[in-house]
Amino acid sequence: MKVKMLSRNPDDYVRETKLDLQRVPRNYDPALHPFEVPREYVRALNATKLERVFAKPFLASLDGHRDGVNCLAKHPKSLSTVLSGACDGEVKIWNLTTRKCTRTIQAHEGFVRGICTRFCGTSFFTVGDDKTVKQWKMDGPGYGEEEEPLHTILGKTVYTGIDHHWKDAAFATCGQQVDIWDEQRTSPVCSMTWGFDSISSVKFNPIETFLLGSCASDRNIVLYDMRQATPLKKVILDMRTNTICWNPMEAFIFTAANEDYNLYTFDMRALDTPVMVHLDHVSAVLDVDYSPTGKEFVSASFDKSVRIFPVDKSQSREVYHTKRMQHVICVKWTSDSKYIMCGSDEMNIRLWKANASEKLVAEPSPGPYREHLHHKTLERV
Amino acid sequence: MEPKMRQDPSLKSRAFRPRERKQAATMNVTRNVEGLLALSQQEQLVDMSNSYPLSASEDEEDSDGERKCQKLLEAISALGGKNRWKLAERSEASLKVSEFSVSSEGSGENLVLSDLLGAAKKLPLLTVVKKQLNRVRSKKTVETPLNKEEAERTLREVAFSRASHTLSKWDPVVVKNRQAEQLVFSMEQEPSAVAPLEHMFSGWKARTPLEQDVLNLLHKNRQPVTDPLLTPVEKASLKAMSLEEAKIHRAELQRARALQSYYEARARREKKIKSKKYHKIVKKGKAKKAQKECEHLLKANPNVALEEVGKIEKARMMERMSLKHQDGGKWAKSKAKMAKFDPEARQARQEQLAKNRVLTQKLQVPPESEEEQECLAEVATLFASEGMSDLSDNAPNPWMSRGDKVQTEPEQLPELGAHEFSKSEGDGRPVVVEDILWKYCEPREFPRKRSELNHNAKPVDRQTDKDSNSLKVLSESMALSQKLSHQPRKHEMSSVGIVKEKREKQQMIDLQNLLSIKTPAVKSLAVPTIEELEGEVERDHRQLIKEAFAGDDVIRDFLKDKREAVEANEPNLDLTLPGWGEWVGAGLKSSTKKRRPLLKTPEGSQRKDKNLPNVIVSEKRNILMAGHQVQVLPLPFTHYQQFERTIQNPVGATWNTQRAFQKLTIPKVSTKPGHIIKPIKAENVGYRSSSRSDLSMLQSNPKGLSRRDYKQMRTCAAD
Repeated sequence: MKVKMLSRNPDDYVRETKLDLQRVPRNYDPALHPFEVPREYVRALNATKLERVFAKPFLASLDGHRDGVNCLAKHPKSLSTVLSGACDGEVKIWNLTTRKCTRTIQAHEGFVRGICTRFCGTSFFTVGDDKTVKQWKMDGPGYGEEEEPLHTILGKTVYTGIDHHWKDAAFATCGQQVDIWDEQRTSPVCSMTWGFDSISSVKFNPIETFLLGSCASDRNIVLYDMRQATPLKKVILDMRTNTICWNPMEAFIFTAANEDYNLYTFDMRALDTPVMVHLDHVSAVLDVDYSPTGKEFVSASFDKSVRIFPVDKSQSREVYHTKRMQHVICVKWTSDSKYIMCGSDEMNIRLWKANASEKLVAEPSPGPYREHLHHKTLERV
Repeated sequence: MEPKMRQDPSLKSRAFRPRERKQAATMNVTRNVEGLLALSQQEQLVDMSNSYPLSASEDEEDSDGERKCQKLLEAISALGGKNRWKLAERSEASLKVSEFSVSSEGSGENLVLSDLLGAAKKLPLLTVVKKQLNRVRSKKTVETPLNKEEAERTLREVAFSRASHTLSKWDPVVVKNRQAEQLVFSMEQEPSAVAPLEHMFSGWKARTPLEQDVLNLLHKNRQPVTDPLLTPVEKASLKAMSLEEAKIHRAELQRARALQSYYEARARREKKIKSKKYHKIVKKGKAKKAQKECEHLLKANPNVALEEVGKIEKARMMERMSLKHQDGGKWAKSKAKMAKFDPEARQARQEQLAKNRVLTQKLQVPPESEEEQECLAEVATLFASEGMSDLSDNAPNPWMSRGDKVQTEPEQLPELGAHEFSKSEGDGRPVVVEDILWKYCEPREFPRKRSELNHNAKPVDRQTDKDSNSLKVLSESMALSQKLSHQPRKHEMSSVGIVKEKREKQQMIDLQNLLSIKTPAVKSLAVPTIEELEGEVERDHRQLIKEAFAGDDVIRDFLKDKREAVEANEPNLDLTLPGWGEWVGAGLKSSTKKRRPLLKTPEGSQRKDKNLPNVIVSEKRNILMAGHQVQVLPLPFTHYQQFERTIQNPVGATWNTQRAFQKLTIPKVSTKPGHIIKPIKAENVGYRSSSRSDLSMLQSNPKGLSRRDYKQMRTCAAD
């Protein structure tokens, strides 16, 4: 029987003199040293795989609400502050750095339908099922003061959504019609309507601030001009649109979250066909919010998932879901474009990374311990 | 003549107040009866014309009477009938005329403006009225307003076109941002969020007991609490300089400016001086000064002094290059003439000559380094061992003086000096040394090599005799091996060699011709010996390779493979059915003529490797590869070639410079953590945003439409 032995030729690894360079064994197999195209292909593949390996998007869950989270709002000046309104009429203000609730207000009876902050960040507005619009101070009540709104406006009908103007002291509510309010007055400055169905959401254009978009339950999206106090154009889709969101970098682009599991990105000037149809959800899309860079947006769906779409792609780049997350009702992309927040049916607000594999904590500086390690390695060499 | 009639008041009331009809319904019957009675009475009445307004003309009175009569009849008939309430009509002029029931029933046709004008023609006083009426006639009637829905639609259309117009200004910005290599979102600097203390204090009041305590304490100590700690004036004064300081600064500046101007003026003045003597003195003075400084430096700082010396050396070189101190100048000639007579001139000339001598003198340079000396010594010993005495006889150590050697060498070895050996491309000396070495090596080396070559040539000859087929393969292999070896034969062999070798070479060339590889024939200089030597070495090398790979004929395999690949691709199919169209039977052969293939290769298709003997290009479509190929051209590219070119270039750091690599792998969007990105603003991209706020515009113009828009609306409606 032939026994195979490992044998090495000493010429391959023994130096003739001490002064010779150390021989480094090298495999000359051409298969191991491919040309640039296959090599780059492998590198790209590895990079993609590593990205998946390091994808740890979930950061925190903010719990404290006693009913499903119905609406979210970002603070315009502070990245760490988030406001949320729940289905039991409670509004909570959260601190994201400590991940704690800093303030709780019983704002409405019934749902908090909409919440928005003033552009200066000193106050915020809420609308609820009790037909009221309330303005609140962002800071808590002072010593010995009671928690009560700055202003309360009692309306005739239920308001289903609210959005604040980006520069002026005006805000818009929607319900049976779109109302534009001056903050100083208790009646709307103008009311605009086109059709008779109830309007579910209204959004101001962040760039050309006199433009508004709304979506109603009769399957249409209507655009309004606030200066001329008139509706501009209407587009009717196959199913109801739940929310729209304007692109913060491209004035005429907006995206509509539709009941037919799709999102539609429109150019406002040509509403006949959408610029892009975004497909991946498997149930009704409930909310959508753009990244402040205007390159991507995030959508929340009834299918218990959150998806991130590039603006120019029809397929999503990322899908976030956890076992415990139920129907996601509202979603927001933070103003520094690094995080995503979503509020869901099961009373939690979740914080995600916008880039799943991104390292968010800065590298620790080379302190004494690291330097020590470095020297250790040098010694071994 | 009939007496003029008065209208019955009861009749009139009935006619002109339709609203009271119902109330009066019950009384109607009795009234009508009364009216009839009254009419009968009227005929008996005396003329009352003065007290009531009259109808326009006499003729009408008759018809009036008729109509009255008819009316009466109608009224009577109406008493019993159903259509009791006929449409009222105005039958005569009255003071109490309601505006709602003007009717022109009586005249039979509509009243036209021209009728009125025709009547007014005769009267000269009515010109003003006429003019007015004419003007009225010239104006068109106002069209009926649009209904609400249509008006709203046009309003929307106008507003939409307006809005899309304002939006279209963003197009270039959006396109630019979409195509940008990188969007950086940390450029704009936000003003620091920290407000000054004074602002914070202005709206603040102490609420908690602790705060009140602290405030009380501060008040007791008379600390400023709500007032600004520093007024703006104070701040400004703190920033500003004191008066004295400013004065000193100004004086300094003035002084510097004055000094500069003085210096410039002086330089200008000195530049204009033409006196040679003056310049000479200045130059001498400068030289002296420089020397002094140099000496001083030598003591203080030898390094700097060395540099100075270098400078002086350079100056000397410049002088040497110029022909200033030669004897041929105008001044020198004049001095030469005068030298016989004038001792000063003689002196000057001698000085000049002395200077020339100094300048033209060669400097002695010692040999640069020890290495060279060693090298030279080695060569010397080598020569000594070879028994070379002629060189060493000439001088005791000829290598020590460089200039001599270089001069002597070519004379001693005239033959070799002409030959440039390709290997030795360095400074002059090694070439020469090697040449010498070669000279002594040659006689011994050549015979051996030639004999070897003869040995080699013979078997090849035999082979050629044996079979031409294997020769063909061999020739191909030769060509291939030639390509493999990194020394392509560029020079054709010169014909100085020995006859046998020549034949051998001839054969080689023939082999190459078979493969139809054309080597560019470069005319070599008359360098026969070394060139041939190289050729032989190469051939030797080839022979060695041939021997090493004697067993596995890689090249033949390759050629076979290629032939197979080519044949596999050709669809030359023999579609003839055996036996068809021919006689059959024992001993009959099928004719080759009829057995032609029916399918031929299309003429147009040519293989890519047709002209490449060493390559097989597979033209099959790779299905595995197809999965990775792009279906649609990505956006910024307009042509597939552009895209292919970009894709071909590698991105990795292995194939690119550091900077190029960084540029290629730059992220599309760069953001800063903790930095709020605001929506794009018109001011930031160079547009003007409207100065008025949206809200104020809405409030000032609740319907939001200007006159221009109304005009546009009208045109829209007309369309």
